Amino acid sequence: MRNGRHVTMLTEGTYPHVHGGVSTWCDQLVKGMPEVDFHVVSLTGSGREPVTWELPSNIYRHTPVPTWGPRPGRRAAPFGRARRRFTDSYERFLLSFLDPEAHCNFGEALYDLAELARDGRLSAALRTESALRSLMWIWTMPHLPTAAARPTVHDALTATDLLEHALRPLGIRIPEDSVAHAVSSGLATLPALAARHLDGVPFLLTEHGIYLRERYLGYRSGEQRWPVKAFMLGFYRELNSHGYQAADLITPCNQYNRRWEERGGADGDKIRTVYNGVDPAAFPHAGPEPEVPTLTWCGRVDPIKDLETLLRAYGMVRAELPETRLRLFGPVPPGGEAYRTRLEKLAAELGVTDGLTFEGRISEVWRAYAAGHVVMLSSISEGFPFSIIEAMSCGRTTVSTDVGGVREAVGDTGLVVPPREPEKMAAAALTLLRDDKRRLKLGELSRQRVIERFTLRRSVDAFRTIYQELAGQPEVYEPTLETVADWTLELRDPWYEKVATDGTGW
Amino acid sequence: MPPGAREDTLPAVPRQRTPSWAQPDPVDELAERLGDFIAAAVHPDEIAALLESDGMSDDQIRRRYGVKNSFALAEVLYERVGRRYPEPAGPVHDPWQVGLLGCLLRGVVFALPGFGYVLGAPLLAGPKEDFGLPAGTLPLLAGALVGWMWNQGLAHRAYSWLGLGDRLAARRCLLLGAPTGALLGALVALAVAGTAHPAAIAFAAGQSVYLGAATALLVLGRERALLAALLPMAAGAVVAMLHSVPDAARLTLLLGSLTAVAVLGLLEVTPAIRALKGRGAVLNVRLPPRGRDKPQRSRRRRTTMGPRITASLPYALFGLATGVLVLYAALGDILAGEQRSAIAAPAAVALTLSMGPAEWLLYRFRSGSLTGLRSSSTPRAFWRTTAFTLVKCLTGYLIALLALSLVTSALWPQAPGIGGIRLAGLLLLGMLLWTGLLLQSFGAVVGAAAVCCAAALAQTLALVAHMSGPHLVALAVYGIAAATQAALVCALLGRVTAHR
Repeated sequence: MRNGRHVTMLTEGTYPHVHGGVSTWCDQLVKGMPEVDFHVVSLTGSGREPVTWELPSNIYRHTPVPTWGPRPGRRAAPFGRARRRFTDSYERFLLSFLDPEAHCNFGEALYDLAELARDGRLSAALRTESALRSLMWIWTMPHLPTAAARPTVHDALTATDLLEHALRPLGIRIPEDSVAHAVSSGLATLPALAARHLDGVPFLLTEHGIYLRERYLGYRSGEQRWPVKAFMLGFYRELNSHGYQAADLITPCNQYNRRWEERGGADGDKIRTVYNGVDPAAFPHAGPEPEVPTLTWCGRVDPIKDLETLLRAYGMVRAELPETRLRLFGPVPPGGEAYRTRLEKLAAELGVTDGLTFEGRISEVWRAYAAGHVVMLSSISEGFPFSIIEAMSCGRTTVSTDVGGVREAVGDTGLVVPPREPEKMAAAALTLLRDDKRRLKLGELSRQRVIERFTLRRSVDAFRTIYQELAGQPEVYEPTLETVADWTLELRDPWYEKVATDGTGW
Repeated sequence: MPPGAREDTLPAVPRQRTPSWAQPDPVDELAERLGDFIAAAVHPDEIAALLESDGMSDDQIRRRYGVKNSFALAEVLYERVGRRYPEPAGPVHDPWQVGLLGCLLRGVVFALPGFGYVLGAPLLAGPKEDFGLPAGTLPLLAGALVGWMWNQGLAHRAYSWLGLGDRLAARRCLLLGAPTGALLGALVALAVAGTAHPAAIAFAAGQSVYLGAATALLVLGRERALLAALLPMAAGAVVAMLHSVPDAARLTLLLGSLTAVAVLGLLEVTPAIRALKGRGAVLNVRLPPRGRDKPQRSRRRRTTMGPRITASLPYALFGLATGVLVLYAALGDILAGEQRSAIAAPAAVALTLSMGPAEWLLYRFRSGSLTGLRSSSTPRAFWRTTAFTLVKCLTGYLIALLALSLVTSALWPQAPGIGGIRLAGLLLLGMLLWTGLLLQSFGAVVGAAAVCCAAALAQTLALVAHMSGPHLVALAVYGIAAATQAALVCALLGRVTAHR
């Protein structure tokens, strides 16, 4: 009997093996629901990756699924009728993403392969000569774009191998009385898709980044030839779309992600945004502002944060308010030293070196926000940035770029400017620095907004409700809109004290 | 297309007509700026991904380009730029490029220990044994065969660990495996000899230690160190062949080289000793979990996935079978009752030395078949290229073996010329060994092990049954086995999937 208290969490390359954004989110979710039993299925590389998180006791089982480890399943490929059935399914599978004109159904073919995978025969079948010949035959059909790129035998071998590794999670079974919760799109959804189709297990899909977009960007510097790239990205695109269509519910962490989800064929009614949350106790009200007008920024010193734009904007602010300082908090990641040097050079060219400081890593992150009048964000790409909601939780207003879910996070409690436009960023910062009354008012509204909408507790409660809903429980818990009056209660609530809330990794 | 325009002056893509005073079309500008990327894109969404990662918001897209969002802009760009299929940047990766000198060196390293027997022969002097073998030969042979078999399996297991990227585990495997193999070899020698030949047993024990240590050094890529440790002993043996050398000097040379090899091998695997100690210490002082935030140790799963032990068994059997075959090639005449022991010894030396070129040609074949994979667009074309490469490499090996056997028998003291039947047998045996190694390098070790074991068994039976014409029997056995294995090679390596 399914009751929403048994969840299979499916991850790829994140929890519980590495630290960082999505892993922190998973940890918060699992520790926030001690009454729910979790089975964690983590897709890894070789299967020899260590577990770096302390698993709480409500994770009753952890199954690592190495996609690049020793080959799973039986050694012998199916033969006779079984082989012919496999070849038929596999060719329909290939046609579904190589030839859109063929109108083969990706899902149907995938579920045929899933049955074979559960029988332990898919890997062996994919490594046969006949599987390779099927691919050679299909992708050299003259009307297909892959044929124009002249695929070689080596390309076919590489593509088949990559697919064989990618499909390994398909044979993993998950308990039938659980709710399957994939915390990313793509390969992590394979066991959930199979379980949903074959065993009727409800399937919840959460997306933080856009999986497909990351796959596209990841192939920019690819080592493979064009046919292999087209093959793998075609597979990922169809898998992604099929996941969106098959999921019982999709919970992106911001509204912005909907664009890709609806583009991928997701039904708008099945998308429910659940925002990330921050713990107002870990990010308390920051208190009085510093003496000198100060802008702060917090994050990893990384090109994706577009700190050049921030420095240029700062230069323009200095022209108007010469005593203004800019403090950059956060570590330089390994390999990012060159970027920092570039920034220092730019600061020297702009003549602002005296007011700029690189503060490095800070253990109490809230102090970074407390150190300034206004918190800045100049990124060119973000999901639902923690540095913004953490700053807001500290009662500081923000100037940020209009990327990802930033506008949803900030609302009308800060100023949002287009990315890569330093003039507009400078103008916004000057407006706030000069208007004390407005700035303080926005700071108050920011904290209020976090407590009303983006608390960790609210985020966890939303998922608790969703699990029960998907499990078919009649009683649905509706989280009420918390008011400012009861946020003090939240501060005394014990459970989240154990949760690691270190925003710098996001 | 405007009437009267020549076809080649206008590109096929329809363009927005702009008066000369107007700004150029911003979409065209963008298409030109991102031209290479757009041309290589597999889908419009790939371009949308790039635009978004570059920080272009839908607001900016509407304002600058007048289309709804990044997807719409990406579709316009995808249409406007023709597809191109650029080859990946940088040189083609070929993991099979290997230096000839390194391989030849390995061949020499395989052959050098043979001098040990030259040096040690007077120490083993005694009455002749069964089958007319010199004194102490049987325990030595038994120990060598066991060591050979064990170390082939051990080397495969260690290479498997290295293949998984776990150098420490490979060292640990050698640290435990090599001494076990040495002990096993010594015990087998003891069992065969009884207490009759203490000198032979001691020599066999030393030989077992050498085999284990040399395996560790070779697997970890330290053949130069091994060569350096063997050189004094080999030089001493050459001197001993020309002049008489006292037994004490012989013993010193043998023990010195053996100690050097053993110490070098031990030094190579010592990091594993330290790791073993460290891990144990940590495990011993770990406190029981406190509170519910700590995982219970009993529930923690081992995430380590190592190679299976049984996977190394066929390699061990293949090692045993080839060992037996080479021994028969070396001692066949004596075992057959002909007392001209020197005739066959050069053949064995040539076979051992030829392992250097053999290895190099195996790499050449793999490199050539990889090039074939990359240049063929149908499985049939690939089969043709591979068959041609195979014939080239096998011919190369047989020529090298022929040359080596002619040179060794010419240089060998008191050896008559090598006859036609013997030469044919040697070449067939070489073909059997090389195709066996080829199959093994493609993971088809079971087939190779089965064929070689059958050949070794047939040879043994023929010998035990005292069949007439041992050379003809050997020729037939080698011929049938080599033909079987060649057929296996053709059937297997013609398949593209064998070359992953």
